[in-house]
Formats: sequence, C-alpha cells, structure tokens
Amino acid sequence: MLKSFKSKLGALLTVLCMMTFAVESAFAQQTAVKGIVEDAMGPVIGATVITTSGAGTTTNVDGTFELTKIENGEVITISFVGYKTQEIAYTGQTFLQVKLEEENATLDAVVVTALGIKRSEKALSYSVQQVKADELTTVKDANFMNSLVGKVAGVTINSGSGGPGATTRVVMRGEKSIEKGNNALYVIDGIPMYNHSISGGSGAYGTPSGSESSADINPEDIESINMLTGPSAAALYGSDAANGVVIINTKRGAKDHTSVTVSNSTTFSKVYMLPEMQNTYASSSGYMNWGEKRNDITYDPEKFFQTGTNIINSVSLSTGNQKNQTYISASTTNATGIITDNSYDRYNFTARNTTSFAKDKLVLDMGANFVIQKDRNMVSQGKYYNPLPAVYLFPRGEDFNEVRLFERWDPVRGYMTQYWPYGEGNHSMQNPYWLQKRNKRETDKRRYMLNASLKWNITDWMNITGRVRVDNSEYRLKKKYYASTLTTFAGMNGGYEDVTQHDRNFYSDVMLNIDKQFGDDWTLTANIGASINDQRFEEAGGAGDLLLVNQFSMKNVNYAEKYKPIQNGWHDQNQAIFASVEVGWKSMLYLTVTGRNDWASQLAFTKHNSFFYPSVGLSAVVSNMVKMPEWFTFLKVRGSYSQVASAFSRFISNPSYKFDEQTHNWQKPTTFPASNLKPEDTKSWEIGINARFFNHLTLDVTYYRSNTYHQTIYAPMPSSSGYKDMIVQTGDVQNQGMELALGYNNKWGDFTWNSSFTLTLNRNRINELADNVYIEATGETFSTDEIKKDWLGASNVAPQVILRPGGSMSDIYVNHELKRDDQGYVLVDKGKLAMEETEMRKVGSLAPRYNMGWANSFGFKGIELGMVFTARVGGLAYSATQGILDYYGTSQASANFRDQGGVPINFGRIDTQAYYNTISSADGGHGAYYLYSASNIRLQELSLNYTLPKKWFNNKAKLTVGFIAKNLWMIYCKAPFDPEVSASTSNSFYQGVDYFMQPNTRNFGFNVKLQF
Amino acid sequence: MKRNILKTTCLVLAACGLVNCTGNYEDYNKDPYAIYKADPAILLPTMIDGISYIQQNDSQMIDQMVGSLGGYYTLSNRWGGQNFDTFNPSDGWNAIPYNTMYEDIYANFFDISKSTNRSGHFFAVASLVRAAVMMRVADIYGGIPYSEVKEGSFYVPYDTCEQVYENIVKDLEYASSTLNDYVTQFPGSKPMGSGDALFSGDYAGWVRYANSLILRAAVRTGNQQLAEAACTRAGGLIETNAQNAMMSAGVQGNPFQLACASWGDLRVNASIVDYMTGYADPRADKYFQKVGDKYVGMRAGTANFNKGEVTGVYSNMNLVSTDAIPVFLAAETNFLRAEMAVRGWAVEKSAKEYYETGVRLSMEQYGVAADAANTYLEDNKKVPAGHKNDPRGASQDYTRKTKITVKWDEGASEDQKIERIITQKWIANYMMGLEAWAEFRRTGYPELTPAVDNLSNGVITDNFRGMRRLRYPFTEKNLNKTNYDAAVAAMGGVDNESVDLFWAKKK
Repeated sequence: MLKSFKSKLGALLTVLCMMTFAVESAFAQQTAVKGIVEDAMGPVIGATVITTSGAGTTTNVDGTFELTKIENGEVITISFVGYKTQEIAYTGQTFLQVKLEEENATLDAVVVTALGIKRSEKALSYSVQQVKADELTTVKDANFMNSLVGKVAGVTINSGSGGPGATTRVVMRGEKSIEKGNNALYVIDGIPMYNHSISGGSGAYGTPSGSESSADINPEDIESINMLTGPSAAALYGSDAANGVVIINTKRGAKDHTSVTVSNSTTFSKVYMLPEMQNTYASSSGYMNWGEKRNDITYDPEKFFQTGTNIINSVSLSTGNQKNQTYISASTTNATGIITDNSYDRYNFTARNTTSFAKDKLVLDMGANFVIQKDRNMVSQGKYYNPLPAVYLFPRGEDFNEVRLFERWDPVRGYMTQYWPYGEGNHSMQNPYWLQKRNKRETDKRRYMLNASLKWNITDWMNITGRVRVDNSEYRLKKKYYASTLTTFAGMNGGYEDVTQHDRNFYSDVMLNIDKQFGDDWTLTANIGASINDQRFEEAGGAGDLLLVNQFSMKNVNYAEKYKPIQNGWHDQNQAIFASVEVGWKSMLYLTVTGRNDWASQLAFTKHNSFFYPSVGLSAVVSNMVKMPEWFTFLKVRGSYSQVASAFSRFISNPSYKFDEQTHNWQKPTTFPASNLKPEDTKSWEIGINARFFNHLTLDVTYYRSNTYHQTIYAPMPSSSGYKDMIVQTGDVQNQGMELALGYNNKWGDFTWNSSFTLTLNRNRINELADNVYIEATGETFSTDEIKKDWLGASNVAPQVILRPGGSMSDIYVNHELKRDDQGYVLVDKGKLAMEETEMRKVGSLAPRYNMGWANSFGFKGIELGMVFTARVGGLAYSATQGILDYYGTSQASANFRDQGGVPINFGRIDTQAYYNTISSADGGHGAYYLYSASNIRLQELSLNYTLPKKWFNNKAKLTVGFIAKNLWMIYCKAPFDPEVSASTSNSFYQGVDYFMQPNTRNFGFNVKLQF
Repeated sequence: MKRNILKTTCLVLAACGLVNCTGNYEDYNKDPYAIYKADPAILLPTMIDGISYIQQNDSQMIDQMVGSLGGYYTLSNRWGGQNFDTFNPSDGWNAIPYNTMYEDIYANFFDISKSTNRSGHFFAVASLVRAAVMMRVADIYGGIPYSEVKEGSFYVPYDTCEQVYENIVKDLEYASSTLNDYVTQFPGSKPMGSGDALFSGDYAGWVRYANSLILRAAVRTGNQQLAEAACTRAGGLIETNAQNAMMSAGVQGNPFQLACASWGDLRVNASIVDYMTGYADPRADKYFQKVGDKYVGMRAGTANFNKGEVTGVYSNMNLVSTDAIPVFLAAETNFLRAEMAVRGWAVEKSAKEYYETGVRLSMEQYGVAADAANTYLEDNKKVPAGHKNDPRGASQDYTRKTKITVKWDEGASEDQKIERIITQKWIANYMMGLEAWAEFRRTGYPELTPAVDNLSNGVITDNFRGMRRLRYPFTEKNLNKTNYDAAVAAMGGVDNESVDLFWAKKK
C-alpha cells in the first residue's frame, strides 16, 4: 500500500512538474526516442511508459517502445506491476535501455505463459506458480523435479523408487483419466516435450524403473519454472496440457555482461526407513525364521546397503552484446545408488545463441542440446530384478559374509556359477550380489535437441515468430543374464535381451503476435498461430536364451525355443490452429478468449477428423477499481472456464490382429471393437484471488472443478460374449479442490526471512462409469457399475483398486477377513485361525486429503538458511513387505510377540506363527491387516549457504559454499515405509504400495558455486 | 502499415492452410508391425492352444492348478493360501479357466466364421477346436453358454450340461465328416501348415481326434448309441501311438517342465507315485525323477507350508522342455472300448483284449519293452501302495484301501472291471489332469489321496470325493446376471463346488 501510495504521490508530482514544464518549455524542441524495457530475464511486455507531458505508451511484445513527442528535461516514468518504478530525465538520448528491478515483497508479476509469451501477471485469469532457479539448484537431484516437492500448490510429486535419476510422478489437481496417463506435460521454452518415461512396472512381477526424458534437463540451464496446474493453457499447448503443465524456461546469454559459473554439488545418500527386522530368532527351515531364540545372530540387512553418492559438476558461460548473446554450458551428473552396482550417469552440453539483425527487425534464436545418459541395474520393487527379498528374508543364523562371494568356480561346467545355497523360495530369490552383478540391466541413451526461432518485428506492435524444434533420442536397452541365473529368467547357458529404441519428435509453429494500445484505456494482445507436432517411436530387438555360455550377442541366441521377438512402432501427428485474444481495460480488467482446433492422426478411421475447444477468462484488479483499506495493497480476482478435447489412443479406431511375443501366435483382439468413436472432453472452471497486504504478505488461492467426460474406457464384458471387454466412451470423473499459496517476507536490518506455505487439496469423484451407453454396432445399451484395477501386490491378497460410481479413482477394497463367530470374536479352532473370502469391502482411499509444504529461508550477511517442511495428511498405504516379513518371522513385530508369548486374540494369546501365517502369506499380508495411514511430516530440505564477501575477490567473483540435506528427518510417519515414494510412476492406481520397494534415502552433502 | 497487416494475415492463413494436410493420417494410425488381415490358418493356433495349454501362465492357472485334482501332480506353492486342492480357490483364480478359454476361442472363432462364411475345412477345424475346448470348460463348470454364443451378443443364455454335450457332439460330427471328405478329396493336402501344434496340418489326424472325442463324450455321458456309432465313424479312431494327439511344445517349451524345474511350483502327486510304485510299473522312470534313490510323491491339499520345505524333497516330473503334451492317446480309445464291452455295449473285441491293448500301447509309447509289458499285465499280486514315510511327517501319510491288481480277471465284478480299466487308463493318461479329474468324478476311480485340509467352509463334506465342479466365475454372476441366475436355477438353485454334474453322480 505504502508503495502504491508513493507511486500515486509520484504521479501527482509528475503532473505538477508537467504543468510547470508546459509553461517553461513551450518553445523547446520536440524529438522522438526509442527504447527497450527489460528485466533480468529479457524484454518486459506491457510496461507503462509515460512522459511528463502525459504522452504515454506501453512496451510491445519485444519490450520496445517509442515516444514520438518529447522534449529535453521531461521525465519519463516507466512502471510495471511488480517492479520498482523508474524515472529517467530526458536529455536528448535517442535510445533508452531501461532495466527494471523487481520490487521486494511482490508476486512474480511477469510470467512466461504459453508458447514462451511473457504476460503481466494481473492479466492472467488462471493459476500460475513460479519457481525460481535457485529453488532447483540449491539442493540438487539427478531428476530436478524431485527438488520441487512441497514448493508448489496443487501439484503432487512422488519420486520414483528406482534410485538416482528414476522417473517421477507429477500429478496436478487430481487424476482425471481412467485409461490414459495422468502425469503433467513438460514444456521447454514454449514447446511441448514428449516425455519418454521408463516407469517401473506394477505388481509382484513388475519390471524395474528406468529414467525419463524430463530428467535429462540440466537444472543449471533452467532460468525458471512455471507450473500451470489447470488446463487453461491447453489452448496453446494442445490436449496433453489437460493434466497441467510444467513450463521450463531455459537460460540465454546476457547482454553486455560476461559471467562464468562453476558449481559442484556432492551429496551422499543413506538408506532410510528400512523395515524393522529381528535378529534374535533363527531360521526354522529355509527362509522361515521361526526357530529358536539365539543371541549370536549378527546379520544386519542394513549393511547390504552402501552409501550412495551423487556428484554434479557444471560450468556455464553467459556473454553477449546488444546484438548477439550466447550461453553455453556443460554438466556431469554421476550418481551411484544405495544398492551395489546401481548407477546413473549423465552428461549435458548446451549452447544457445540469440542474434538480432536487419535493424533489429529480425531476431534469430538457436539452441542445441546433447545429452548422454546411462543407467545401470536400477531396482524399484517386486520379486523380479530385485535383490531386496533375498536381503530381507535371509535365513537368520546363517552367515551372510559367505554369500558376499557370490560366484564360485564350477569345475564341471568350467565357469563361475552363482553361489546361493538357500533356494529361490517364494520370491525367485537369487544371491543379491549376483542379481546386481550378473543379471545386468543396462540402458544407454543419446539425445539431441535442436531448436531455432526467427522473429520478425513487422511493426512495433506486431511480429511473426516461427519456431522449429527437433528432439531425437536413441536408446539401447540390454539385459545380460549369466549362466546359472535362475531358469525363470534365462536358459542354462545364460540369457540376453537387446532392444534399440528411437524417439523422433518434430515440432514447428508459426505465430502472429499483436500487442497494441488503443487510446488510453484499451489494450489488445493477440496470438494467432498454427502448429504441427510429429512424434514417432520405433523399437526393435529380441530376447532369448544363449547357446554358448555367457556370450552376449544376438548371434548366440537360441532362436528355436523361447525366443521373444520385439518390434513396435507408432507415428502420431497433430496439426492445430489456435488463437488467443486478450483485451485489457485501464490495466485493471482483462478478458481473454482462446480457441484451438486440432487435427489428430489418432482420429483417422472415424467420422471425426478434428476437434475444437475454447476457453474464456476474466481478471479484475479490484485494488485499482475500488478504494481498498490502506493495508490491502493489491487484490486481483480471476475466473476462467476451459474445455480441452483430446484424441483417444492411437490404433483403437483401427484395431489389428495382435501378436503374442511368447506364443508367436497372431490372434483376434479380445476387446470388442469400438464404433462411432468421439474425442474425449474435459470441462473445467476455476476462480481465484491474488492478494497482497501489509506489504509482506501474499496470498494466492484457487478453487477449481474439472469434469472429464467421454473417456475411452475398457468396460468388462462377460467372457461368454467371446470378449474380455469393450471400448465404451462414457464416464464422468470429477476433481475439485483448492490450492493455496501464502507468502511472507520481511527484512530487519541485515536479517531477512522469506517464508511460503502451500496447501493442495483435491477431491476426486467418479460421477458415472457407463450408464446405458448405446452401442451402435449391436443396437444394445451397455452399463457397468464397476471396473477393477490393480491389486496392490499379489492378487487376492493385497487390496484392490476398484472404480465405482460415487467412489473415487483411488478407492481400495479388501476381500479377506479373519473368520469370526456369531458374537464377533475371532474364531480359534485348536489354536488355529482361519481367513475367509468375503465380498469386496471398501476400506478407504490411497489419495491424500491434503498436502502441505512450508519453505523458509533466513538470510543474514551472506548466510542463507533454507528449510522445507512437507506434510501429507490422509490416505492409506499398503505394505506387502511387512506382511511377508511377518509371515517368515523376520519382522521385529514377530519377535516382539514371540517374546510376549503370542499375539493377544479375544481374551488369550495365540501362537505368533499361527497368527501371522493366517493373516499374511508369502506373497504379502492380507489387505485388511496391512494398511497404514500414509500421513507424514518431514523435513524435506535443509540448506545452509554462505556467500563469501565479494570484496575478498576484489568484487570480481562470488563464491558460495553450503551444506545441503534432503529428506533428513521424518518427523511423523506411521507406515513402515515412505509412502511418498512411487514404484510405478506412470500407473494411476498402483500407488502407496511397498512390495520390497527400494527404501527412500536420506541425503546430505555440500555445494560450491563460483561466479565471475 | 495496413498493407503489412494484410500481408501478414495472408501469410498466417496460408501457413494454417498448408499445415492441415491430414492425408497421411490413415497410414500413421496403423500399427506398422501388425497384420490387418488374417487367414484362418493364422488364427487357429491360439484356439488350438486351449486344448491343452502350452502358454506357461494359462497352463499353470488351468491345466496345472485345476488339473492337479486329477492326482498326477501337486502344487508345491501356496501363493496366497487359496488353492483348488484345499477347496477354497479365490474368486479370481476360480474364474480364470472359464474366461481364458472363452476369450482364446471365440474372438478368433467369430473371425473365422465370418471369413469362411461358416463352411469349408478351416471352419470345420475351428468348430472342432471350439467343441474340444468347450468340453473342457463344461467338464469344469457344468452347463455353459454354447449354442447361443454369437458375435455381438453380449449376454448369452446357458445350455444345460446335457445340451452342451449334445451340441458339442453335433459340432464334432460335423467337423469329422467335413474334414474326412476333404481328406478323401485332397489326400495329403495340409492347408493349416506349420501352425498346427497337434497334427502338423494332417487332417486325417484331426478326423481321428474328433471321432475319439465323440467316443470319450459318449462314454462320459453313458450314451450307448452314440458310443457305438463313434467306433465305426468314417476316418476311424486313434488306434496307434503314431496317431496320438500330442501337443507340441513348440517355441515356448513344455510348461509342466517349466513349472517343475524353473518355478518350483509343481511336484509329482503322491497318488500316481504310490500306485505305480505298488505295481512296480516300468513307466515310472519315464514319468518321474528320483529324489535320492526313490520316487517321492507329494500329497495334495495341505493348507499351509512354505515352498522351501518342499523344494528338493519331492520328485519332479521327468520332462525336458521339448517334450510334447499328450492330448488324446491310442491307449485311451482302447480303454474306452474296454469299458463299453464291460457294460455290454456293442464293440468289436472283448474287454480283455481292449484293456491289454491299452496297457501295451501305453508301454510302447514310453519305450517299455514288450516283455516287460507282458510281465506287468500278468501280475495279479501287486496292489497300489499307501503313502508312507512322507518327508513332511505322519500327517501326510495315507493308508490305501483298494486291492485292485493289474491282471485282467474275467470273473471280477463289473465294478472291479471298471476300476481296473479306469486305473490303467489313468496311469496311461499321465499329465492329462483335467480329463483324469472328470473320470474320477464319473467313476470314483482311482483312489486318490484325499485332501489333508478342507478349507471349503463346509461346502465340501467328503474330502475324498472333493470338489465336484468349480462354481461359476464371479464375472458371469456380475456381468451376465439374468442368464447366470437361470443357469443356477436349472442346476437346482445352488452354485457351489458340491453340485454333481449329470454324468458324475457316482458316490
């Protein structure tokens, strides 16, 4: 308020001065002046430029302005919301370069919205949250998305369990789609990116996780990230934006300034929240640890885990002059996991050049990225490709050191063979070292990204921009199984899998941008464009048993038996035209209307060849319209409504015969073909306010509701129809909720405190699945009131996700209970209990009721202390691991009950083994008994940085050193594992499950950053 | 300025117009590595797999798990603790045989019906396979949707168990005649080619298989007229081992071998080991692997054990991954006719002759010398052994009551003769678990070791008789409710595992 008052006072003074000057300089010479207004990131669009005489304009799309009538001595006032107002005395300059500085205690007032266009924050009718580079680079992670946990409202981020660089689950405003993915879209410099994510599989037999395209980005190259949690940006990015967008803005070279930044981040990780296991009761037989009590058992599963390291080095150079700016960077990321032989390595090279020429009419921006990435032996969860079952269940009383020598010379076979005398048990167990060293899983990747854009400034208020981006990757995925691996995975002489994959992505658009002021009151901003997005994927390879021992070559594969040919490919293309028009009135009221029409290749073979979707939004800066109390500095009220249509999955309008890689047979699909397919539809609206008061407080609240209709779902059919399911387009999945961000910052002398609190709350509801849907092919109507989704572990033991109208996408059901008598007591028969199968009973939901994040930063004379706390409240998590450890008598809980003489049941005690062998099984504990509250509170990040005084380096350099820690302290958690870790990040249902999942880690280390 | 705007607008519009070339979209939206046209010969292999699964998971969930009730093999894994042999299969597993076989058969069958216009040799093979597989389903569950199943009909009424058999036989007769005509007309022609895992495309083999299946169905349902007609159908029965219907393991390998050796989920059943040890059967070393110096069978139906306890303790099936799986053997057609003769139905030879031929054929099939076979057939002393000294202790032991010997005894009672025939048929039909379970339910033979633990919650009252069928899948109950209700009403109003099928009334 005070600031606003000051500026009003300033304006008044300006008017007074103007009147004086008007008299004094009546005969002074009138000239013209051009200029550019910029901030730290580049041109500022829509800044107000007023002279003493009252002549005024706003900056156009490239930040430039022109004043045609100005006299010496006049004062030019340049203002923009969120920036300090600047006044420049005119003394005959021909070109003015104005650098605006951000005002403290304000919202980030300029935001980069769709397609890289910067917009005044006050004009936006939807929620955008900005994350600055330092929030990503202070506590670095191999996958930068993990650094955003707790910092943005409306976004749920679950890191993957695969070790460093693993895929991440990013869901904004709840899960919308039953069959399609629910992860957010990534946009780099305005261009959507295809995220090739090798997510871990679900269930006991799931495949291990890999990495993903978004993790390839070097966090040092990121200037800022904007999170668009709603679907409002879809008009410009297309259908994929319906799940929300992560907009990544990368760095470019600075004008007239050269700087070099060198940084190192070294962190160490230790296993954290390992299940509690006993070492007092010995093995009774095999893996069963129900034997005698002993005090000489020394085995400690924690010792299997090593200290992981993650070393990130980067160097970048930013330089340039008025016409030409260059940014180049290189970085290395070398990480090893907490499990032996698990590693992730990445090398990033980036170059970017921006040139203006032809009298600044043309601006050419070119960039190139090259990424080399490889990961080895990632472990996420399940029975397969996982050393943890063997580590946890190791027979107590046996000598683990014995198996550290994992292979031994076999004089008969003539080579080293696996040493593991305990058998495969129930979990296909092998020597854990053998599994990591002799069941090699290797991924090698090369990625090239090239982009170019050319902007033609036709007039000062209109330009045309054309852009092209190519993003190609090549993957090589190999699995090498050495001879004497379990024959479940490979033949007697070993096994080999070799697959090559290619991503080919091409994007291009052309856009006409208009930014014009009409009279004093009206502004018009419009973008009209067309785009093409072409994505291809190719995969080829094979898998089979070896003929010669341990010769890993496709020439040495047995093609006669158990050979698996792998070949897949697809080609999607989307063409679109779109327009966005924003009309502003007196810088206080903005109306935005968008529309987009898509032609998607997935629609081929249907009656529809395109679809259209509009949006409308209104934003009002109330604090400029009515008189507000003194302390109320700024208030904006906004609301928007948008529709996003999207194509259904490729090929379903044109079903082929299916090939079975195992049987090598072709067969007719068992899905009844769809008829009359239509595009899918999400309709959503949101209202929100952005407010600032008492100079130090900011508040950003949004309430939203979205409904997704006409989803293409696979509805179950009675198999006596000859089909397993049918494609039906129906349903109504609703998400509504609130996102809130509250900020505070203040300064007391040298001491500063910045604090921000975020709240994410979402309620999901399935309003309808399929209710009397007309099936054109048969003339029948079809209804279904239940769709069964993933079991959270072994089928018929774990809870199952079941979708029912009135329920949610995360509801879980159980169907086993201890048998009880008429009075409700647990039935005990000769010291034995019994389980019975019951109807499916709903026990709760996997979804949190709300998430909170609280980030704090304290500064004092170059010392910066950062702390991020996160909390999740509500929802359930299931631990199959705990059940299995109980079943085998390996858990600490089972030892405790044994010490107490049994498990209390009814009025007595029952034998611990009898109890656990009933409520649990070797495949996991029964759902009803192994669900835990997933609520947790933790210290997510802690950092202490010190910037050495500049004068020590003659003001030539800036050196920052710091201590950093991540996931240091779990303050509250009742589940026996970290429920925020996801084993299968692309799966919408298999969440909050621990099936021998790799435990989370506690990370700490240091940072050094040198700038000169 | 105005002109500039105009020019720009034109340019943008042109760009918009230019990009919208969607002419290639039909090419893009096409799986480049899939086929869009399929000859019946391409679709038949998936259907044929349903006759006895080679696909490892289907074999495990159907032929091994439900088939374990036939007394040849025992599940050495307890998974979640709900298993067929303890009479408490979960809803999910209980539904798998039904759903898998329907889905493997019908989508392909509809396609073939359409492309062949329901005529010709391909359609005949498809009908034959459909009938053979659905007979497996009907033997497991009872009445099932059969005659009313057609493309685009979502909610199909059930045939009663009797009707299913009638309709299956009609389809088999149709297929047998059609294919026999084809063989006569084009001898040596093999239009199915290499995709035929059963007969390598030899239609004469399919004709014999169809006729033999009719005979099996007739004897199962006690249909004398049909049985007599089946013996004289054109094309004949499977008479020699060379004519046996054996499912080739093909590229996937033998699934029983995989389950035994790789997964450790399957061991040899105590019943078959005890019978054959008692008889000193020379086929035993072809059937089983030894643990130490002897065959150790594992008793089925124990509720709770750890996989580790039974690993390396009980015998594996003696298989290599290239071994084919028996589907219908020449031995069986002889045992079927032996039974007909005992019952006084018209057959060419005597019961003794058929019985002994059946045993000899089986011995020959497993490479046992003729002398040894003769010795075996002359033995009237040895009786099936009980189950003693089980590695897991006395709780697993069983005293066998039967005193049935091998040697044919013309003076024995009809019931003893039937027991003798069924016992030898059971030994000869090794691995065909579902068929053995059906014949056990029909005749009460052989004397399989009863389940140790009965977890059926009172549904099954006699551990020896065991499960009489599987309850219908929950998917039918949920998704095809009206017809499911009608089928249950027709069965007597109860849908559980204690209900006897019409041909399985033997106490």
